Amino acid sequence: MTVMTDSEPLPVAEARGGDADAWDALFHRYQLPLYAYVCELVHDEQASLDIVQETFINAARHIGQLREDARFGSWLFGIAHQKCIQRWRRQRPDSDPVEMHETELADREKNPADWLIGKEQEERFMKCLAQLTPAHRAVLLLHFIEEFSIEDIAAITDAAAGTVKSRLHYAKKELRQILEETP
Amino acid sequence: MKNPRELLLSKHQQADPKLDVVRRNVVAEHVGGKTLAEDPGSTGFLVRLWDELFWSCRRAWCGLATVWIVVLVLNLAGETTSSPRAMAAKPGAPMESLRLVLSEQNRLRAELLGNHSESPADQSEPAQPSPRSENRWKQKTA
Repeated sequence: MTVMTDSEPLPVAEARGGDADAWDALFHRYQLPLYAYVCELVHDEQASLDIVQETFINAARHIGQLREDARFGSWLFGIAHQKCIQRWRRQRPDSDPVEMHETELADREKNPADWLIGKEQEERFMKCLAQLTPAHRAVLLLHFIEEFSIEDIAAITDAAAGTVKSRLHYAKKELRQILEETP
Repeated sequence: MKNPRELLLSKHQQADPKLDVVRRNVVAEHVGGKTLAEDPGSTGFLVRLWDELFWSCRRAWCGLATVWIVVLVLNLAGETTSSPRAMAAKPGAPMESLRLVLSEQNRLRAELLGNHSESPADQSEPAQPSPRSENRWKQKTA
């Protein structure tokens, strides 16, 4: 089993050729971030495992649809995001987890890696994250977990870049207020 | 102190063994030995072409095929119920139907022109063009 670091190039070209080791390495690289993302959205461990499995299967079957090898990560998260939305719609057919378009706001926030959360704040951070709407939570998770760009997040969530920016701004503002309140 | 990514990944770390099982199953069943490109040449290209042209828009293709099938069915149903088609099934029917149409036209023309002396023989045969001298005579006497 090959364990990849974030800095290594993705063996997508080999995976296209059917190299099982390349697929194993790709899936291993993304399995935990993908699971964390899905689990924070659907809040169900077994459903999250199912969604991750379906995402991997779809990726193996439809790798031909990926146009740029460098976008494998965002493509994979896009498949998982669509499966989460399908699950929401099955549970609540009348509701739409995606909010309407919001006004565009500038994003002048810090790098996600610069956010530092103390141990005493961890529980509040996770609680606050759970209280966000699915749309806000999704963009924040993609921003924090994989540090996707605004354009990548827009492609994954099938939203406009301006909408993604405003959701991210709002979600970060909420979280910062929580973290700054704690002594 | 942790950043949000570290916090989120450490929260779900306990699911890693289950994820390993999922990963191995997918690789074994959907990748290992059943790849798209054991022959990465023409077969891989054809499969990619199929994926991009048809599979990615399969719903649209199915909709188009359904519409064409409906059109074909309606067309065939219309053909079986119409009388000219039924008459065409008989031998020599096209000529007979043509004669009937032409005689009907002659009858209507005769009615319009006020000519009621058309003989039954004329009704069964199409009118032959008359010589020009006779036409001139008819115009003079009209």
